Amino acid sequence: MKKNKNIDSFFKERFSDFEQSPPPEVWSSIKAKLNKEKSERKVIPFWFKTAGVAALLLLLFTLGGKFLLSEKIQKNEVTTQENTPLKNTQEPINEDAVVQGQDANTILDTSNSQENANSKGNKILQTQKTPSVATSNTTNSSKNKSAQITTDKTTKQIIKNTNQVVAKNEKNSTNSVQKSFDNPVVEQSNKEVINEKLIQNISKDSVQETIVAHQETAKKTSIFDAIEEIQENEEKVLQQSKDNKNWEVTPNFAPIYYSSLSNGSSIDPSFADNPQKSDLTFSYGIQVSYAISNKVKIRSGVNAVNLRYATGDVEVVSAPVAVALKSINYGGKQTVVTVADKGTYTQPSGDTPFENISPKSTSGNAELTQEIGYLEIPLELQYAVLSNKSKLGINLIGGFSTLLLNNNEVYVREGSYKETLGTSNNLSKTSFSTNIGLGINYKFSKKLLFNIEPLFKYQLGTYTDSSVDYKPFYIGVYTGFRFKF
Amino acid sequence: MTLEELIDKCKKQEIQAQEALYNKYARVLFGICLKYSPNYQEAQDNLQDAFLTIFKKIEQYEGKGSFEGWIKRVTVNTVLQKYRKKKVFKLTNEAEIPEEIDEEIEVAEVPLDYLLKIIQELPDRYRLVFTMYVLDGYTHQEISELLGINIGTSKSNLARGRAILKKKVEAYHLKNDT
Repeated sequence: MKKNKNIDSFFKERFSDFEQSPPPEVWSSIKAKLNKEKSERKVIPFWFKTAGVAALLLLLFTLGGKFLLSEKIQKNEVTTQENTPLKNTQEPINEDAVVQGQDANTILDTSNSQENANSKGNKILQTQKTPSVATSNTTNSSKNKSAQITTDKTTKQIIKNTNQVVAKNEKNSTNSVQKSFDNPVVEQSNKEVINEKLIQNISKDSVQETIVAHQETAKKTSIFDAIEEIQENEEKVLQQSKDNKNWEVTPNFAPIYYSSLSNGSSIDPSFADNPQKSDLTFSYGIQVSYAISNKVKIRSGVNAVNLRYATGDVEVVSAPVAVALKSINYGGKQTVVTVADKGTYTQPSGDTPFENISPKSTSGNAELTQEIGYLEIPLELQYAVLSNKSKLGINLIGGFSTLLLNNNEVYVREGSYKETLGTSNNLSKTSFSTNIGLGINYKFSKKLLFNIEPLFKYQLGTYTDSSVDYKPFYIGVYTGFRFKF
Repeated sequence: MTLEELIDKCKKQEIQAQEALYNKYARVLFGICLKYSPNYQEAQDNLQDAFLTIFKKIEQYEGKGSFEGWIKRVTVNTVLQKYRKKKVFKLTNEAEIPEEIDEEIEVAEVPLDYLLKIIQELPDRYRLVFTMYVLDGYTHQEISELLGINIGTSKSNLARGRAILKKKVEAYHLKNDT
């Protein structure tokens, strides 16, 4: 059968509720991927620290621009802190309120005792069938009840009411005395009189108490003011102390170990397979840090860093500058002292077959040493993993440093013999390092902490010559006392 | 197990629950993947990607609106992401845009497999626009937003896709009538 139909509705009809079973391998493949993801997730804790440091670095880069806006951040800090003292001061207010409430209760208690006294009187009156009083009393007691929730004004009313009751009681009792002929009744009326007196006394007392209570309330309003004042003062103090303790200064000192992630040599590729070792050097300087929040500090400062590493298995020769190591600036001399890989120029006999090249040390014990000095300006973020509230604090540190070259010397040494070759000509005047590390501090007092921070610094852009296959890094264990102010 | 319980367990990444969810919705979602993909193999790949996305994003599903609607949207978005950036072969000149074609079509027993095949064979963007507009009832406005194209382009893509399909259905009739 054929018929004409709109193409859209034709397709729409045919594909309404279109479903199809996928082949089973789709699920197996999904399952495999899900399992893989799960196992990868389990690995995460091992990488947690690295991830943390990476996050720190990221933070640093993003916050870098905002550093100038740190004032704003600081303001926000203060406002959030203002909230906390507010909460704290609210508690004492509540306590006061409780105290006040207790006061009110005591007042109410007195009035209750009045009520009791009244009700005693009423009972007697009721036996004398004086319903009007009973009613007034009930209303009275109900007022008392309502007054339990209450302020001093209502207490006043209660007292007024009780006085009225007393007055009524007086009347009634007099009536009852007049009307009664039976002794017990007289006795009762006597009791009533006593009661009345009691009531009068009590009510007087309670009036006095009310006055006291009023005075107290008056005082309390002034207490509220005082609390507000204190609160304000506290805020100011907190603000001040907070502002003050944002800053820290840490003079530091660190033994430095210098090495490379690759096997190359920064001086000459021919030394790549020679034994190279780092001498232990030092770094010292001063660091200033500023707390952005309780957990995060941004820090900078200045450090002098000395790096030194020695290449062994070399021979020292005196040679024309043309054949000497290219990476060294010899200061314009034509014949220079230079070094070469052992066996390059000299034969085991100690002679050299080359004209113009005379051996200076052939024992192979000579070491070519490169000494580099930097002025380091770090910019780092410090994130508190373990709270500063305890004595011990642990921080993750990440950031980078700008390294300004201020010492550059290449010399050769064998025993007591030392000769400077010149300066290395492939070192950048300005280079950088990315820094990560862990900081541990111990708090002696609020103002003084002892700090120890192993930091790994990987250098970037150290060499002007990109072909140098030397990826230097250095590790320093920075120790120092941190002063807060 | 109710759907809510199943979703909760999927949020906890429990593999049995994920399998149950897959079994419950694989047919519907594979249908979507087939309509939006250029062939059966890619539809499989897209179904897999869609489910992986669903399991990953299920935490974000807050129980507002129908769950089936949500997973369908995730699936369509997964597929769109893959094909929307690919350009339609060579863009034809404006002059070549088909005039309003005769939208009436001779309908006989055309097998669904054949219809699916000719949809899949459409250039990526024609296929996406045609499926979204005709089969799934998206508006040109929605299509333009989801594919990052303008409404005019969406309309012309639809017209071209429709023209191609019409030709192919007619070709099918010719072949089978003779």
